[in-house]
Amino acid sequence: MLQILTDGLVIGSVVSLGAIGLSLTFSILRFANFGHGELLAWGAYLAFTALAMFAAVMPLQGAAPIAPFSFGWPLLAAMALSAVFTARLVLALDWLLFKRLRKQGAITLVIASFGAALALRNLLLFFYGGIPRYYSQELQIAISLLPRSVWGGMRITPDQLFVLGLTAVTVIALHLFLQRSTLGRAMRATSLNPQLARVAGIDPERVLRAAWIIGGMLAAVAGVFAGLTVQLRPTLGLDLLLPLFAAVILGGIGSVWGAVLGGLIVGLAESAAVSVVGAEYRAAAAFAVLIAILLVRPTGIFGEKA
Amino acid sequence: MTAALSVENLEAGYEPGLPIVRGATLSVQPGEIVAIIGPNGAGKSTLVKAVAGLVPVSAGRVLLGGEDITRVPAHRLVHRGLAFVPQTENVFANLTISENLELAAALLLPGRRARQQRLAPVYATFPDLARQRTLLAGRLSGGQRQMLAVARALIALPRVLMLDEPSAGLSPKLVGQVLDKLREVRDGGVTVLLVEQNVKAALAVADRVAVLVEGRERIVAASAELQRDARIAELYLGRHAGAPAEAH
Repeated sequence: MLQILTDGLVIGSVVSLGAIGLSLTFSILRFANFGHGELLAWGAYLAFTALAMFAAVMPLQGAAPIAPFSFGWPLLAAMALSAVFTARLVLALDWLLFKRLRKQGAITLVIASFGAALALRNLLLFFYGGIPRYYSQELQIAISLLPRSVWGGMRITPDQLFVLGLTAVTVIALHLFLQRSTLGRAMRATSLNPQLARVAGIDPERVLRAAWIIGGMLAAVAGVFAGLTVQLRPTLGLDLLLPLFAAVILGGIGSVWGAVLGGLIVGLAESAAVSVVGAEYRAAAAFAVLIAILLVRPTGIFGEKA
Repeated sequence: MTAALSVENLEAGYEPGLPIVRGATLSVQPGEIVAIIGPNGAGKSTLVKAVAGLVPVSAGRVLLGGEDITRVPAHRLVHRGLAFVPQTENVFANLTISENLELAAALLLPGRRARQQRLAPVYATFPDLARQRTLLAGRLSGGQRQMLAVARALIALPRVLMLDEPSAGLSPKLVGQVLDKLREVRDGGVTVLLVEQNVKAALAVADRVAVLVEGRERIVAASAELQRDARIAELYLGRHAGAPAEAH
Protein backbone atom coordinates (compact mmCIF):
# COMPACT_ATOMS: atom_id res chain seq x y z
CA MET A 1 0.00 0.00 0.00
CA LEU A 2 2.67 2.47 1.05
CA GLN A 3 4.86 1.31 -1.83
CA ILE A 4 2.10 2.37 -4.25
CA LEU A 5 2.32 5.83 -2.68
CA THR A 6 6.10 6.01 -3.09
CA ASP A 7 6.06 4.80 -6.69
CA GLY A 8 3.12 7.06 -7.45
CA LEU A 9 4.92 10.12 -6.10
CA VAL A 10 7.97 9.36 -8.27
CA ILE A 11 5.88 8.93 -11.44
CA GLY A 12 3.85 11.95 -10.35
CA SER A 13 7.00 14.10 -10.04
CA VAL A 14 7.85 13.52 -13.70
CA VAL A 15 4.26 14.16 -14.80
CA SER A 16 3.95 17.23 -12.55
CA LEU A 17 7.04 18.98 -13.93
CA GLY A 18 5.95 18.29 -17.48
CA ALA A 19 2.39 19.35 -16.73
CA ILE A 20 3.47 22.67 -15.18
CA GLY A 21 5.22 23.62 -18.42
CA LEU A 22 2.25 22.51 -20.49
CA SER A 23 -0.17 24.43 -18.28
CA LEU A 24 2.00 27.54 -18.34
CA THR A 25 2.33 27.60 -22.11
CA PHE A 26 -1.37 26.83 -22.49
CA SER A 27 -2.43 29.70 -20.25
CA ILE A 28 -0.19 32.24 -21.98
CA LEU A 29 -0.14 31.04 -25.59
CA ARG A 30 -3.77 29.89 -25.46
CA PHE A 31 -3.34 26.60 -27.25
CA ALA A 32 -2.78 22.98 -26.25
CA ASN A 33 0.75 22.11 -27.35
CA PHE A 34 0.69 18.45 -28.32
CA GLY A 35 4.41 18.69 -28.96
CA HIS A 36 5.15 19.24 -25.27
CA GLY A 37 5.70 15.55 -24.56
CA GLU A 38 8.47 15.49 -27.16
CA LEU A 39 10.26 18.25 -25.25
CA LEU A 40 10.57 15.83 -22.33
CA ALA A 41 12.03 13.22 -24.67
CA TRP A 42 14.42 15.72 -26.25
CA GLY A 43 15.46 16.95 -22.82
CA ALA A 44 16.24 13.39 -21.77
CA TYR A 45 18.27 12.66 -24.91
CA LEU A 46 20.10 16.00 -24.89
CA ALA A 47 21.24 15.19 -21.34
CA PHE A 48 22.28 11.73 -22.58
CA THR A 49 24.37 13.36 -25.34
CA ALA A 50 25.95 15.83 -22.91
CA LEU A 51 26.74 12.93 -20.57
CA ALA A 52 28.40 11.02 -23.39
CA MET A 53 30.46 14.11 -24.26
CA PHE A 54 31.55 14.56 -20.63
CA ALA A 55 32.54 10.88 -20.51
CA ALA A 56 34.65 11.35 -23.65
CA VAL A 57 36.59 14.35 -22.39
CA MET A 58 36.68 13.88 -18.59
CA PRO A 59 38.93 11.54 -16.60
CA LEU A 60 37.11 8.51 -15.18
CA GLN A 61 37.34 9.50 -11.51
CA GLY A 62 35.54 12.77 -12.23
CA ALA A 63 32.59 10.86 -13.59
CA ALA A 64 32.29 8.48 -10.64
CA PRO A 65 28.83 8.27 -9.03
CA ILE A 66 28.17 10.34 -5.94
CA ALA A 67 27.16 7.74 -3.35
CA PRO A 68 24.44 6.64 -2.78
CA PHE A 69 23.18 7.80 -6.19
CA SER A 70 23.71 6.01 -9.50
CA PHE A 71 25.08 9.19 -11.08
CA GLY A 72 27.84 11.71 -10.57
CA TRP A 73 28.11 15.44 -11.14
CA PRO A 74 28.23 14.96 -14.95
CA LEU A 75 24.53 14.07 -14.97
CA LEU A 76 23.71 17.21 -12.98
CA ALA A 77 25.73 19.30 -15.43
CA ALA A 78 24.16 17.43 -18.35
CA MET A 79 20.71 18.12 -16.95
CA ALA A 80 21.49 21.84 -16.67
CA LEU A 81 22.84 21.92 -20.22
CA SER A 82 19.86 19.96 -21.46
CA ALA A 83 17.49 22.46 -19.81
CA VAL A 84 19.26 25.33 -21.62
CA PHE A 85 19.25 23.55 -24.99
CA THR A 86 15.65 22.35 -24.67
CA ALA A 87 14.63 25.95 -23.99
CA ARG A 88 16.55 27.00 -27.10
CA LEU A 89 14.91 24.20 -29.07
CA VAL A 90 11.42 25.32 -28.10
CA LEU A 91 12.25 28.96 -28.88
CA ALA A 92 13.50 27.85 -32.30
CA LEU A 93 10.30 25.86 -32.80
CA ASP A 94 8.26 28.93 -31.89
CA TRP A 95 10.23 31.11 -34.33
CA LEU A 96 10.04 28.53 -37.10
CA LEU A 97 6.44 27.42 -36.66
CA PHE A 98 4.14 28.80 -33.98
CA LYS A 99 5.00 32.49 -34.34
CA ARG A 100 4.08 32.41 -38.02
CA LEU A 101 0.74 30.75 -37.29
CA ARG A 102 -0.25 32.70 -34.16
CA LYS A 103 -2.75 34.91 -35.98
CA GLN A 104 -4.48 31.87 -37.52
CA GLY A 105 -6.00 30.86 -34.19
CA ALA A 106 -5.72 28.07 -31.64
CA ILE A 107 -6.92 25.20 -33.86
CA THR A 108 -4.18 25.85 -36.43
CA LEU A 109 -1.60 25.97 -33.64
CA VAL A 110 -2.84 22.70 -32.13
CA ILE A 111 -2.63 20.94 -35.52
CA ALA A 112 0.83 22.44 -36.08
CA SER A 113 1.91 21.13 -32.68
CA PHE A 114 0.85 17.60 -33.74
CA GLY A 115 3.10 17.97 -36.78
CA ALA A 116 5.95 19.29 -34.64
CA ALA A 117 5.56 16.33 -32.27
CA LEU A 118 5.80 13.84 -35.13
CA ALA A 119 8.88 15.57 -36.54
CA LEU A 120 10.61 15.81 -33.16
CA ARG A 121 9.89 12.16 -32.29
CA ASN A 122 11.15 10.85 -35.60
CA LEU A 123 14.26 13.02 -35.43
CA LEU A 124 15.05 11.36 -32.09
CA LEU A 125 14.54 7.96 -33.66
CA PHE A 126 16.78 8.99 -36.56
CA PHE A 127 19.60 10.29 -34.35
CA TYR A 128 19.52 7.79 -31.48
CA GLY A 129 17.73 4.70 -32.84
CA GLY A 130 14.99 2.77 -31.10
CA ILE A 131 17.10 0.94 -28.51
CA PRO A 132 16.37 1.92 -24.90
CA ARG A 133 19.24 3.81 -23.26
CA TYR A 134 20.27 4.42 -19.65
CA TYR A 135 22.17 7.23 -17.97
CA SER A 136 23.94 4.76 -15.72
CA GLN A 137 24.57 1.03 -15.54
CA GLU A 138 25.08 1.27 -11.75
CA LEU A 139 22.83 -1.00 -9.72
CA GLN A 140 20.67 0.82 -7.18
CA ILE A 141 19.78 -0.76 -3.85
CA ALA A 142 16.47 0.50 -2.49
CA ILE A 143 16.48 1.91 1.03
CA SER A 144 13.84 0.56 3.37
CA LEU A 145 11.93 3.48 4.90
CA LEU A 146 9.34 1.31 6.66
CA PRO A 147 9.36 -2.45 7.39
CA ARG A 148 7.03 -4.80 5.50
CA SER A 149 4.92 -5.21 8.64
CA VAL A 150 3.72 -1.60 8.29
CA TRP A 151 1.20 -1.54 5.41
CA GLY A 152 3.45 -3.68 3.21
CA GLY A 153 6.51 -1.50 3.84
CA MET A 154 8.07 1.35 1.91
CA ARG A 155 11.27 1.18 -0.13
CA ILE A 156 12.82 3.85 -2.27
CA THR A 157 16.04 4.15 -4.27
CA PRO A 158 18.36 7.13 -3.69
CA ASP A 159 17.75 8.24 -7.29
CA GLN A 160 14.00 8.30 -6.63
CA LEU A 161 14.61 10.36 -3.48
CA PHE A 162 16.70 12.74 -5.57
CA VAL A 163 13.82 13.04 -8.08
CA LEU A 164 11.31 13.78 -5.31
CA GLY A 165 13.61 16.30 -3.63
CA LEU A 166 14.56 18.19 -6.78
CA THR A 167 10.92 18.26 -7.94
CA ALA A 168 9.91 19.85 -4.63
CA VAL A 169 12.72 22.42 -4.88
CA THR A 170 11.85 23.21 -8.51
CA VAL A 171 8.15 23.65 -7.80
CA ILE A 172 8.82 25.92 -4.81
CA ALA A 173 11.34 27.97 -6.82
CA LEU A 174 8.83 28.36 -9.64
CA HIS A 175 6.11 29.34 -7.17
CA LEU A 176 8.35 32.04 -5.66
CA PHE A 177 9.29 33.25 -9.14
CA LEU A 178 5.65 33.58 -10.19
CA GLN A 179 4.61 35.21 -6.91
CA ARG A 180 7.50 37.57 -6.21
CA SER A 181 9.29 38.55 -9.44
CA THR A 182 8.04 41.19 -11.85
CA LEU A 183 8.26 38.78 -14.79
CA GLY A 184 6.40 36.11 -12.82
CA ARG A 185 3.62 38.52 -11.92
CA ALA A 186 3.53 39.74 -15.53
CA MET A 187 3.09 36.11 -16.62
CA ARG A 188 0.22 35.60 -14.18
CA ALA A 189 -1.35 38.87 -15.33
CA THR A 190 -1.01 37.94 -19.01
CA SER A 191 -2.47 34.48 -18.46
CA LEU A 192 -5.56 36.07 -16.90
CA ASN A 193 -6.10 39.01 -19.24
CA PRO A 194 -3.73 39.47 -22.20
CA GLN A 195 -5.40 42.68 -23.39
CA LEU A 196 -5.22 44.39 -20.01
CA ALA A 197 -1.63 43.17 -19.68
CA ARG A 198 -0.74 45.00 -22.88
CA VAL A 199 -2.27 48.31 -21.83
CA ALA A 200 -0.61 47.91 -18.42
CA GLY A 201 2.76 47.97 -20.21
CA ILE A 202 3.59 44.25 -20.26
CA ASP A 203 5.48 43.22 -23.39
CA PRO A 204 3.53 40.16 -24.64
CA GLU A 205 6.51 38.76 -26.58
CA ARG A 206 8.72 38.83 -23.49
CA VAL A 207 6.12 36.98 -21.44
CA LEU A 208 5.62 34.49 -24.22
CA ARG A 209 9.35 33.80 -24.47
CA ALA A 210 9.53 33.35 -20.70
CA ALA A 211 6.67 30.83 -20.83
CA TRP A 212 8.42 28.83 -23.56
CA ILE A 213 11.75 28.92 -21.74
CA ILE A 214 10.32 27.84 -18.37
CA GLY A 215 8.15 25.18 -20.04
CA GLY A 216 11.13 23.88 -22.02
CA MET A 217 13.45 23.78 -19.01
CA LEU A 218 10.91 21.99 -16.81
CA ALA A 219 10.26 19.52 -19.63
CA ALA A 220 14.00 18.80 -19.86
CA VAL A 221 14.27 18.17 -16.12
CA ALA A 222 11.17 15.94 -16.21
CA GLY A 223 12.63 14.05 -19.18
CA VAL A 224 15.91 13.47 -17.32
CA PHE A 225 13.93 12.24 -14.30
CA ALA A 226 12.00 9.83 -16.54
CA GLY A 227 15.29 8.59 -18.02
CA LEU A 228 16.84 8.26 -14.59
CA THR A 229 13.99 6.33 -12.96
CA VAL A 230 12.89 4.26 -15.97
CA GLN A 231 14.82 4.44 -19.26
CA LEU A 232 15.30 6.57 -22.36
CA ARG A 233 13.35 5.67 -25.46
CA PRO A 234 12.24 7.80 -28.42
CA THR A 235 8.56 7.23 -27.57
CA LEU A 236 9.05 8.69 -24.08
CA GLY A 237 7.24 11.90 -25.07
CA LEU A 238 4.33 10.10 -26.68
CA ASP A 239 3.95 7.80 -23.67
CA LEU A 240 3.87 10.78 -21.31
CA LEU A 241 1.66 13.04 -23.42
CA LEU A 242 -1.71 11.74 -22.24
CA PRO A 243 -0.76 11.68 -18.54
CA LEU A 244 0.51 15.28 -18.96
CA PHE A 245 -2.80 16.44 -20.41
CA ALA A 246 -4.72 14.44 -17.81
CA ALA A 247 -2.73 16.20 -15.06
CA VAL A 248 -3.29 19.67 -16.52
CA ILE A 249 -7.04 19.13 -16.97
CA LEU A 250 -7.35 17.46 -13.59
CA GLY A 251 -5.60 20.28 -11.76
CA GLY A 252 -7.32 23.06 -13.68
CA ILE A 253 -5.88 24.58 -16.84
CA GLY A 254 -3.47 27.43 -16.11
CA SER A 255 -2.84 26.59 -12.47
CA VAL A 256 0.73 25.66 -11.48
CA TRP A 257 -0.34 24.04 -8.21
CA GLY A 258 -3.17 22.36 -10.07
CA ALA A 259 -0.66 20.83 -12.48
CA VAL A 260 1.45 19.61 -9.55
CA LEU A 261 -1.53 18.07 -7.78
CA GLY A 262 -2.92 16.69 -11.04
CA GLY A 263 0.46 15.14 -11.83
CA LEU A 264 0.67 13.51 -8.42
CA ILE A 265 -2.88 12.13 -8.68
CA VAL A 266 -2.13 10.73 -12.15
CA GLY A 267 1.10 9.21 -10.81
CA LEU A 268 -0.68 7.62 -7.85
CA ALA A 269 -3.46 6.29 -10.09
CA GLU A 270 -0.94 4.75 -12.47
CA SER A 271 1.04 3.25 -9.61
CA ALA A 272 -2.10 1.79 -8.03
CA ALA A 273 -3.21 0.37 -11.38
CA VAL A 274 0.15 -1.36 -11.89
CA SER A 275 -0.09 -3.01 -8.47
CA VAL A 276 -3.78 -3.84 -8.49
CA VAL A 277 -4.90 -4.59 -12.07
CA GLY A 278 -1.64 -4.76 -14.05
CA ALA A 279 0.68 -2.41 -15.93
CA GLU A 280 -1.38 -2.50 -19.13
CA TYR A 281 -4.19 -0.60 -17.37
CA ARG A 282 -2.05 2.22 -15.96
CA ALA A 283 -3.20 4.84 -18.51
CA ALA A 284 -6.82 3.72 -18.14
CA ALA A 285 -6.62 4.18 -14.36
CA ALA A 286 -5.33 7.74 -14.73
CA PHE A 287 -8.20 8.54 -17.05
CA ALA A 288 -10.76 6.94 -14.76
CA VAL A 289 -9.63 9.33 -12.02
CA LEU A 290 -9.70 12.22 -14.49
CA ILE A 291 -13.27 11.43 -15.55
CA ALA A 292 -14.39 10.99 -11.94
CA ILE A 293 -12.99 14.37 -10.88
CA LEU A 294 -14.30 16.18 -13.94
CA LEU A 295 -17.80 14.83 -13.28
CA VAL A 296 -17.67 16.41 -9.83
CA ARG A 297 -15.69 19.54 -10.78
CA PRO A 298 -15.64 20.20 -14.54
CA THR A 299 -13.12 23.06 -14.27
CA GLY A 300 -10.54 20.83 -12.58
CA ILE A 301 -9.41 21.01 -8.97
CA PHE A 302 -7.93 24.53 -9.01
CA GLY A 303 -9.60 25.73 -12.20
CA GLU A 304 -11.94 28.69 -12.21
CA LYS A 305 -15.15 29.06 -14.15
CA ALA A 306 -14.74 31.07 -17.34
CA MET B 1 -1.31 75.16 -27.86
CA THR B 2 -0.47 71.55 -28.81
CA ALA B 3 -3.33 69.23 -27.98
CA ALA B 4 -2.63 66.62 -25.30
CA LEU B 5 -4.26 64.04 -27.54
CA SER B 6 -5.64 64.36 -31.03
CA VAL B 7 -7.28 61.92 -33.37
CA GLU B 8 -7.31 62.81 -37.06
CA ASN B 9 -9.63 61.11 -39.55
CA LEU B 10 -9.20 57.82 -37.73
CA GLU B 11 -10.51 54.62 -39.25
CA ALA B 12 -10.33 51.46 -37.16
CA GLY B 13 -12.08 48.12 -36.78
CA TYR B 14 -11.62 44.50 -35.84
CA GLU B 15 -11.94 43.08 -39.38
CA PRO B 16 -10.02 44.40 -42.40
CA GLY B 17 -12.30 46.42 -44.67
CA LEU B 18 -15.00 46.75 -42.02
CA PRO B 19 -14.19 49.92 -40.08
CA ILE B 20 -16.27 50.69 -37.02
CA VAL B 21 -14.62 54.06 -36.46
CA ARG B 22 -15.02 55.91 -39.75
CA GLY B 23 -12.98 59.05 -39.96
CA ALA B 24 -13.31 60.30 -36.39
CA THR B 25 -11.54 63.55 -35.52
CA LEU B 26 -11.18 64.81 -31.98
CA SER B 27 -8.72 66.82 -29.95
CA VAL B 28 -8.30 67.01 -26.19
CA GLN B 29 -6.52 70.00 -24.70
CA PRO B 30 -4.15 69.66 -21.73
CA GLY B 31 -5.97 69.62 -18.38
CA GLU B 32 -9.33 68.99 -19.96
CA ILE B 33 -11.89 66.25 -19.35
CA VAL B 34 -13.54 65.24 -22.60
CA ALA B 35 -16.32 62.67 -22.73
CA ILE B 36 -17.38 60.71 -25.78
CA ILE B 37 -21.05 59.82 -25.83
CA GLY B 38 -23.27 58.31 -28.46
CA PRO B 39 -25.75 55.53 -29.18
CA ASN B 40 -24.90 51.85 -28.85
CA GLY B 41 -22.70 50.67 -31.71
CA ALA B 42 -21.46 54.17 -32.51
CA GLY B 43 -17.85 53.02 -32.12
CA LYS B 44 -17.06 54.82 -28.85
CA SER B 45 -15.20 51.95 -27.20
CA THR B 46 -13.56 50.98 -30.50
CA LEU B 47 -12.27 54.54 -30.85
CA VAL B 48 -10.50 54.56 -27.47
CA LYS B 49 -9.26 51.00 -27.98
CA ALA B 50 -7.79 52.04 -31.33
CA VAL B 51 -6.08 55.00 -29.65
CA ALA B 52 -4.78 52.59 -26.98
CA GLY B 53 -3.34 50.31 -29.66
CA LEU B 54 -5.75 47.44 -29.06
CA VAL B 55 -7.71 47.71 -32.32
CA PRO B 56 -5.97 47.94 -35.71
CA VAL B 57 -6.02 51.38 -37.31
CA SER B 58 -6.53 51.37 -41.08
CA ALA B 59 -6.33 55.13 -41.73
CA GLY B 60 -5.76 58.42 -39.96
CA ARG B 61 -3.46 59.44 -37.13
CA VAL B 62 -3.29 59.58 -33.35
CA LEU B 63 -1.04 62.26 -31.84
CA LEU B 64 0.00 62.35 -28.20
CA GLY B 65 1.32 65.80 -27.38
CA GLY B 66 2.01 66.28 -31.09
CA GLU B 67 3.92 62.99 -31.41
CA ASP B 68 2.52 60.38 -33.80
CA ILE B 69 1.65 57.23 -31.84
CA THR B 70 -0.70 55.66 -34.38
CA ARG B 71 1.02 52.31 -34.67
CA VAL B 72 3.00 52.23 -31.44
CA PRO B 73 2.35 48.83 -29.75
CA ALA B 74 -0.12 48.99 -26.87
CA HIS B 75 2.43 47.98 -24.23
CA ARG B 76 4.72 50.90 -25.13
CA LEU B 77 2.05 53.61 -24.93
CA VAL B 78 2.05 53.65 -21.16
CA HIS B 79 5.75 54.57 -21.28
CA ARG B 80 4.88 57.45 -23.65
CA GLY B 81 2.35 58.85 -21.17
CA LEU B 82 -0.96 57.38 -22.34
CA ALA B 83 -2.82 55.18 -19.85
CA PHE B 84 -6.02 53.28 -20.58
CA VAL B 85 -8.61 51.79 -18.25
CA PRO B 86 -10.81 49.26 -20.09
CA GLN B 87 -14.51 48.97 -19.33
CA THR B 88 -14.61 45.45 -17.91
CA GLU B 89 -11.95 43.18 -16.46
CA ASN B 90 -9.79 46.21 -15.84
CA VAL B 91 -7.82 44.78 -12.92
CA PHE B 92 -5.83 41.55 -12.61
CA ALA B 93 -8.27 39.57 -10.50
CA ASN B 94 -5.69 36.88 -9.65
CA LEU B 95 -3.33 39.43 -8.08
CA THR B 96 -3.80 41.32 -4.83
CA ILE B 97 -4.32 45.08 -4.77
CA SER B 98 -0.68 45.67 -3.90
CA GLU B 99 0.50 43.19 -6.57
CA ASN B 100 -1.59 45.02 -9.18
CA LEU B 101 -0.04 48.34 -8.25
CA GLU B 102 3.49 47.04 -7.64
CA LEU B 103 3.45 45.32 -11.03
CA ALA B 104 2.47 48.58 -12.71
CA ALA B 105 5.31 50.35 -10.89
CA ALA B 106 7.85 47.59 -11.53
CA LEU B 107 7.21 47.72 -15.27
CA LEU B 108 8.21 51.38 -15.28
CA LEU B 109 10.82 51.80 -12.57
CA PRO B 110 13.84 49.59 -11.87
CA GLY B 111 14.62 50.41 -8.21
CA ARG B 112 12.62 49.25 -5.20
CA ARG B 113 12.86 52.66 -3.52
CA ALA B 114 11.71 54.47 -6.66
CA ARG B 115 8.72 52.13 -6.87
CA GLN B 116 7.77 52.76 -3.25
CA GLN B 117 8.02 56.51 -3.85
CA ARG B 118 5.75 56.15 -6.85
CA LEU B 119 3.24 54.03 -4.94
CA ALA B 120 3.00 56.24 -1.85
CA PRO B 121 1.01 59.13 -3.41
CA VAL B 122 -1.29 56.67 -5.18
CA TYR B 123 -2.11 54.95 -1.90
CA ALA B 124 -2.63 58.40 -0.38
CA THR B 125 -5.12 59.26 -3.14
CA PHE B 126 -6.91 55.94 -2.72
CA PRO B 127 -6.87 55.24 1.04
CA ASP B 128 -9.43 52.41 0.72
CA LEU B 129 -6.99 50.52 -1.48
CA ALA B 130 -4.14 51.15 0.96
CA ARG B 131 -6.19 49.65 3.79
CA GLN B 132 -6.98 46.46 1.83
CA ARG B 133 -3.77 46.02 -0.09
CA THR B 134 -3.45 42.28 0.58
CA LEU B 135 -6.95 41.57 -0.75
CA LEU B 136 -7.29 39.80 -4.11
CA ALA B 137 -8.53 42.23 -6.74
CA GLY B 138 -11.08 39.64 -7.82
CA ARG B 139 -12.82 40.04 -4.47
CA LEU B 140 -13.34 43.80 -4.80
CA SER B 141 -16.71 45.42 -5.47
CA GLY B 142 -17.34 47.15 -8.81
CA GLY B 143 -16.54 50.60 -7.42
CA GLN B 144 -13.37 49.42 -5.68
CA ARG B 145 -12.24 47.69 -8.86
CA GLN B 146 -12.77 50.89 -10.82
CA MET B 147 -10.71 52.80 -8.24
CA LEU B 148 -7.95 50.19 -8.44
CA ALA B 149 -8.00 50.34 -12.24
CA VAL B 150 -7.63 54.13 -12.14
CA ALA B 151 -4.93 53.87 -9.48
CA ARG B 152 -3.04 51.32 -11.60
CA ALA B 153 -3.20 53.62 -14.59
CA LEU B 154 -2.00 56.61 -12.54
CA ILE B 155 1.15 54.78 -11.40
CA ALA B 156 2.59 55.58 -14.83
CA LEU B 157 2.10 59.33 -14.24
CA PRO B 158 0.29 59.58 -17.57
CA ARG B 159 -0.18 62.79 -19.49
CA VAL B 160 -3.48 61.44 -20.77
CA LEU B 161 -5.80 59.00 -19.02
CA MET B 162 -8.44 57.25 -21.12
CA LEU B 163 -11.33 55.37 -19.55
CA ASP B 164 -13.94 53.21 -21.21
CA GLU B 165 -17.26 53.63 -19.39
CA PRO B 166 -15.97 54.11 -15.85
CA SER B 167 -19.53 54.29 -14.49
CA ALA B 168 -20.68 50.99 -16.04
CA GLY B 169 -22.38 48.74 -13.51
CA LEU B 170 -21.93 51.15 -10.60
CA SER B 171 -24.59 52.52 -8.27
CA PRO B 172 -25.33 56.28 -8.57
CA LYS B 173 -23.40 56.90 -5.33
CA LEU B 174 -20.33 55.07 -6.64
CA VAL B 175 -20.60 56.84 -9.98
CA GLY B 176 -20.39 60.10 -8.06
CA GLN B 177 -17.28 58.89 -6.22
CA VAL B 178 -15.59 57.80 -9.43
CA LEU B 179 -16.38 61.12 -11.11
CA ASP B 180 -15.04 63.03 -8.11
CA LYS B 181 -11.84 61.01 -8.39
CA LEU B 182 -11.57 61.86 -12.08
CA ARG B 183 -11.91 65.56 -11.28
CA GLU B 184 -9.14 65.11 -8.70
CA VAL B 185 -6.99 63.42 -11.33
CA ARG B 186 -7.63 66.25 -13.77
CA ASP B 187 -6.81 68.83 -11.08
CA GLY B 188 -3.53 66.96 -10.63
CA GLY B 189 -2.62 67.86 -14.21
CA VAL B 190 -3.74 64.75 -16.08
CA THR B 191 -5.83 65.14 -19.22
CA VAL B 192 -8.83 62.80 -19.23
CA LEU B 193 -10.71 61.28 -22.15
CA LEU B 194 -13.60 59.01 -21.28
CA VAL B 195 -16.26 57.09 -23.08
CA GLU B 196 -19.61 57.19 -21.32
CA GLN B 197 -22.93 55.53 -21.94
CA ASN B 198 -24.28 57.37 -18.89
CA VAL B 199 -24.84 60.75 -20.50
CA LYS B 200 -25.75 62.50 -17.27
CA ALA B 201 -22.49 61.38 -15.71
CA ALA B 202 -20.58 62.44 -18.81
CA LEU B 203 -22.13 65.89 -18.86
CA ALA B 204 -21.56 66.27 -15.13
CA VAL B 205 -17.84 65.58 -15.23
CA ALA B 206 -16.65 66.65 -18.67
CA ASP B 207 -15.53 70.08 -19.80
CA ARG B 208 -16.39 69.16 -23.37
CA VAL B 209 -18.40 66.36 -24.89
CA ALA B 210 -18.13 64.69 -28.30
CA VAL B 211 -21.16 62.92 -29.70
CA LEU B 212 -20.12 59.98 -31.84
CA VAL B 213 -22.58 58.53 -34.35
CA GLU B 214 -21.73 55.77 -36.85
CA GLY B 215 -18.02 56.03 -36.14
CA ARG B 216 -17.73 59.81 -36.59
CA GLU B 217 -18.08 62.78 -34.29
CA ARG B 218 -21.31 64.66 -34.99
CA ILE B 219 -21.13 67.31 -32.29
CA VAL B 220 -18.22 68.50 -30.17
CA ALA B 221 -19.17 71.18 -27.68
CA ALA B 222 -18.87 72.34 -24.09
CA SER B 223 -20.90 70.25 -21.63
CA ALA B 224 -22.95 73.20 -20.48
CA GLU B 225 -23.83 74.02 -24.05
CA LEU B 226 -24.87 70.45 -24.80
CA GLN B 227 -26.99 70.26 -21.65
CA ARG B 228 -29.04 73.06 -23.09
CA ASP B 229 -29.18 71.44 -26.54
CA ALA B 230 -32.68 70.15 -27.14
CA ARG B 231 -31.54 67.53 -29.67
CA ILE B 232 -29.10 65.94 -27.22
CA ALA B 233 -31.63 66.14 -24.44
CA GLU B 234 -34.14 64.26 -26.56
CA LEU B 235 -31.71 61.79 -28.07
CA TYR B 236 -29.65 60.84 -25.04
CA LEU B 237 -31.20 62.20 -21.88
CA GLY B 238 -34.76 61.15 -22.62
CA ARG B 239 -35.95 64.70 -21.88
CA HIS B 240 -38.37 66.79 -23.84
CA ALA B 241 -36.94 69.98 -25.18
CA GLY B 242 -37.42 72.85 -22.77
CA ALA B 243 -37.50 70.74 -19.61
CA PRO B 244 -34.89 71.82 -17.04
CA ALA B 245 -31.60 69.91 -16.89
CA GLU B 246 -31.30 67.63 -13.87
CA ALA B 247 -28.62 68.65 -11.43
CA HIS B 248 -26.04 65.93 -10.71
